[in-house]
Amino acid sequence: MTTDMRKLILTALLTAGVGLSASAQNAYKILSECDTTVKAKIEKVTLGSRDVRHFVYEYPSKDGDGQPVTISGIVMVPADIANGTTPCDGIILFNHHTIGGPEQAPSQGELDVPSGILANPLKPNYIIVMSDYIGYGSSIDHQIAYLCGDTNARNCLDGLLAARQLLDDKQIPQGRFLFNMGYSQGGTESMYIAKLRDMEYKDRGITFDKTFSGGGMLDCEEAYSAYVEKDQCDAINDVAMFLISVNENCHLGIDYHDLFKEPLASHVQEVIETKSKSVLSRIGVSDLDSLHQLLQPAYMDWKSDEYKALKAKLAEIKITNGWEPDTTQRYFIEHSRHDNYVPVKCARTIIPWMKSKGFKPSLVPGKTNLQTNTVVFKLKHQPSAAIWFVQTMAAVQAWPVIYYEGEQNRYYHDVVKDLNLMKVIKFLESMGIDLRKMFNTSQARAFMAAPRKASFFELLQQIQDALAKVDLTINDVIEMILDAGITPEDIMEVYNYIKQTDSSSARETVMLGEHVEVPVYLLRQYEQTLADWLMLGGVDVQYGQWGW
Amino acid sequence: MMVAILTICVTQAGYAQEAKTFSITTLNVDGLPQKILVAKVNPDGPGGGGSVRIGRYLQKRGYDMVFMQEDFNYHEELTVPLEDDYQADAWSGDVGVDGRQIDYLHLQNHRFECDGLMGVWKNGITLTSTSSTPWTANFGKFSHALDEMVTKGFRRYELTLTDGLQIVVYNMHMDAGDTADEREGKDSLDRDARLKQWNQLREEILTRLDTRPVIVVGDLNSYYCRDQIKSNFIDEIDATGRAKVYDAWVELQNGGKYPAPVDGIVCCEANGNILESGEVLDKVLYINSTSGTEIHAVSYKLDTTDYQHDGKMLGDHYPVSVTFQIGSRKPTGIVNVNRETITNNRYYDLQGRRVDGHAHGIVIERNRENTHKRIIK
Repeated sequence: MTTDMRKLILTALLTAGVGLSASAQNAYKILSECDTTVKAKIEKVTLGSRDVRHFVYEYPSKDGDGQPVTISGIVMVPADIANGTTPCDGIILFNHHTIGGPEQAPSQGELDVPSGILANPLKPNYIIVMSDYIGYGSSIDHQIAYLCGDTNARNCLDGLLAARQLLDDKQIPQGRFLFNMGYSQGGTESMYIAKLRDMEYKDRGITFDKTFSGGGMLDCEEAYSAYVEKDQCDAINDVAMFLISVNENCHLGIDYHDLFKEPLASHVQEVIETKSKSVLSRIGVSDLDSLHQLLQPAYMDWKSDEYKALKAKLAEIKITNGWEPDTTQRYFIEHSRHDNYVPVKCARTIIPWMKSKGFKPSLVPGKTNLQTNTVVFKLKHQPSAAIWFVQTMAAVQAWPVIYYEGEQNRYYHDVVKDLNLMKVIKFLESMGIDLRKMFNTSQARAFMAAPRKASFFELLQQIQDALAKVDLTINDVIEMILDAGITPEDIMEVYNYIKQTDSSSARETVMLGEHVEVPVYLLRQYEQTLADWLMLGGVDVQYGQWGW
Repeated sequence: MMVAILTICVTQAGYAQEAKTFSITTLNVDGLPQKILVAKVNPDGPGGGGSVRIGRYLQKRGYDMVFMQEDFNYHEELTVPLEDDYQADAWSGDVGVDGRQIDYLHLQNHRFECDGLMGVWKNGITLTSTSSTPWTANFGKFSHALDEMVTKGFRRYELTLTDGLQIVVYNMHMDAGDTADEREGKDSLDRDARLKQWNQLREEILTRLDTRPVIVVGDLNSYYCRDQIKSNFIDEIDATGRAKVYDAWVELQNGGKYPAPVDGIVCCEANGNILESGEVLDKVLYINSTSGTEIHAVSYKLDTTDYQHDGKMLGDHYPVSVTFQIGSRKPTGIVNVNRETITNNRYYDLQGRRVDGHAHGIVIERNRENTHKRIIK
């Protein structure tokens, strides 16, 4: 965002009042409208630029208590779409990540993500709609609702409806597709938005083509447990903001001296009023590296009443509570296994929950309505955002081709519908990468300690040793497999295949029957995950003689 | 095993000797390129050599008028054999990337401007007016037969025959469906698009209808049992009282009966080939104004026997040719409609596309100015 543009917007804000008002339901007021140029940058390298028409607008919504509130946001329209020279493919409801303070809210012109979307070299022909969320911009007098329930989601959905009205009034086409996306806090809000859409906004004409949620805290109850369990966290600031937000928005009435240690306990009011992370930095919270340095012991002890009470409240406000998901909606959930801000556990618990609601996870885009990727394992929170961004942008770019006819393109559908592990291996073979050959080299066989003679579970143990060298456990792998929708049968098919020395040799087949006695002692550390996986694969898992 | 109705011999009695006739043919020449960049677009298509053969076939038959569809990338190969005897319509261009600025990042916005339609008429027949109109409704850009990749529509020709009779011809290519979609019952939006095209055509014809006979030809991608041609087009025009519509195939091949609409996925034959009734996607309909000169079809031929080379079909549709007799009343002397039935399980798929391909032979060389053409065997 250029300085000139900020000046323009601020000037317009000061002289606001030349707005439009539409129907009561989707009313809005334009605070500023200007033409500008945005740039997509990585560090100081400009990847591309694009002329856009930039609206700052405000619209009515509700706060966490259901009271009316005026929220602000932005609508960013590529100039060639605004002037009718380029067809519009659709709208991206982009939900911003955690910001450092009110000055970074979208309406204040600081966020560069929308510019990165529109001006990146793919030049997607979409309109971006972004809400400030409550507590920023026009609602600066309200407290923020950081990672706390569906208040921000409601603000975003109301903002989307108002933006559509604005675009209609400006006679700007909106295209056919609608995406809901965000990373980190935006990833969380995206899922709250999806939930609220299903439960309240479905009948108001909102149907997402896909929700792209990356690096989000999709289970705040699990997140709290994970933070406490791990103790170490690189996002102490955000954890502090989160707990303050929950206490304030849910009216828990926890005395901050009971919740936080000093110096934060004495500065919470300042944090609430300024909404700025700079306060946390100034008082030294940012320098903490362990949660126990931030929280009082009672909130670090899973046996304490305080811990349990807080967890119970988090269970009430978590995304899955009270959500009956519409299984025709499509999702992409990505989370790095080594996320240092939001533990992967916070995100991946939603996958089995969605599975229980009828979704089938798959790593393959478009194969099912739930695309998952928790296999990004070496990246921390922020670098992983780039992976999510690239995947998301590629999907959004390809969408008008793959879904041009309103349904998945037959040719693409035929490619992905039966794609499984075995087909991937066959594909790799066709590309000259023969996994079976690699597996059967003397070196590999020595490494795997003569796998032809090993049992499946002994093999797993050996694999565990190998995975440790790349900072993974077999538990990670099994979770990845679970999240990717791979079944035990898929694994066994591949295992049996790669064990063959050649097609003419007698096969040593290991089959999973309906009843498998699992030698749990070998697998103690990941027993529950393995058991879940086997049971999901239709295997009747029984307790063995070692107990379970 | 499929059954195809191939030929009809018509014996005309009565006033046959003084009757004035003219012939018209419709043919999808399968002229999409075999390949665009690395993508196989029409690998079994006739290509350049096959298109020359198609041109020579047409030259040899000597029809008075030929109206073609899918005349895209082999236009010169196709029409060079016809140059001496025929006048030609304006070619709308090819399908390809050479010399075009294509936005590969937003292919959804790309559409080739060509319609693939072409008309040729014998020297002596004069064209007084022509126009092109794109369909207002299409369906399918990256699947469902990719209709929206080109500018499908219809062309209207006002022609004066050698004996002075003025006729109006509409040549068109309607929305296609994907065979797999049709078999799975997923072609409803293709059908909807075709229905809208029929309705658009009907309104166009009625708006411009005068006393001249009108002939509707083309690859209509329509079957009576699947598409609402009778109720939406024929009956609607008939109901105006201003004109009456005929289908040459219905009259001369199907005993005057229109196949009834059928509910269900596909209303065709058992094994995915040509309809048992002999109905094909390529049709010749004609419309006589109640206050003008009438024409009537006196012969209909779907040439499955000669439209081949080395045992393989020249294109992916067989030509349909119809001879019209000019007269104020419908001929009554057609006494013998002889249907020849053959067994053929090689050629048609559900879309009327050829199963086998072919390609050899004759090529065309151009000089640097790209104007001189030479056929080399």
